[in-house]
Amino acid sequence: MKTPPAYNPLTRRAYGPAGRYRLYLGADHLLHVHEEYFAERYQRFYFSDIQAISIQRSQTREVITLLHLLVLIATALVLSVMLLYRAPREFVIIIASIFGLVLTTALINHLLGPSCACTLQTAVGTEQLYAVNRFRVARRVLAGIRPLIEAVQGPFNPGDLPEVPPVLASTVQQPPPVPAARALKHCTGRAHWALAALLALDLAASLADLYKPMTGALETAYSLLMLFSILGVLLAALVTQSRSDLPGQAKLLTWTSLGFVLFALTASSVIPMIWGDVNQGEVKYWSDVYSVLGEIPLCLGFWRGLRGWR
Amino acid sequence: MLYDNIALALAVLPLLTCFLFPVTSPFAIAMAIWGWRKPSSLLPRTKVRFILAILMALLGLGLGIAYWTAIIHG
Repeated sequence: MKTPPAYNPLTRRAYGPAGRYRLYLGADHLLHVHEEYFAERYQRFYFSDIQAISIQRSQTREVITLLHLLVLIATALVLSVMLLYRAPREFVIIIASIFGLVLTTALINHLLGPSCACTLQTAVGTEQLYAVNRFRVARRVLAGIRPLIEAVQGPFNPGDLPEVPPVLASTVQQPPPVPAARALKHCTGRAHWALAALLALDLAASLADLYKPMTGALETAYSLLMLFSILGVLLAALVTQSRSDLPGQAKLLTWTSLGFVLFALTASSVIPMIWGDVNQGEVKYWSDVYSVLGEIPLCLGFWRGLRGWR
Repeated sequence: MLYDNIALALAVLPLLTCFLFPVTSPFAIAMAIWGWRKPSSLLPRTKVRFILAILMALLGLGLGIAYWTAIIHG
């Protein structure tokens, strides 16, 4: 019976689009393992076949951090309300545990460093190595396999690369026409600026409200006007950003704003249902705190993502 | 195919319910025995999942029989 080749793990398990991935080092090749629960799929890349390995910065870490942040804000608010209304200790412990768990995973995600997408090219095609998803890991993997590739293919010298023939070079200078189905429309981001302005206005109003609460008809009129304005502008922003060239960060922030508004609406209807005898003043206070905590990062994010965009 | 994981899932997942043990436990044991010598992974892999699956399936089978006996005989 043929003994299987020995493989040494080059990376830890990383989660990708369809399961877990891990990269192993074999005698003369890399083994990219896609782990599903009931099966494993393998891709072998022989050192003699590898033409290039490219590493590109990705937004995965920021997206994960943002999601963690939203869950943390929501959990902290729920926890505050529970403590305020002296909810049963068991429920407080459960929510506090969730908060601690999410905080720990957020910290781990941050400490793992910037995320990246690693692509390996052979004569057959290119494959993304989902196991290599952080720069730190990518550097370590490259440092480990570069000598092995050079031992097979000879030392790499950028000067040895063949010059691009003039005919090919002129072809390269003209980008291929983009198929109509994939063409991105231009988005000026005006709806997003309007959304950011409305959020900033509401932020200022919430801060003022914390200092001196609005009451009566003025409060009702302001709340309804602001709610419908934000929802209208949000809808416009979501429509205009669809299939557009707007930066990904601004698109993500629009969806985050939608989640932020929907959570506020849900919470404002659910809390009185759970605690029938809520003090409206306290609910208003915590609602303002939620607005301030959520709108500051959203406004700053929009300003950073759309700065200089026309 | 990772037969050890399949056997383990057949043995453990029904623990979430209290009436499926007698049905899935024999399948888990059969899968563990059938897959024992089958080629599984290219990577180093021990037989510990197979052993765990058999033990859990036997435990589940015992619990299931006891549960249904208690139900039937009041």
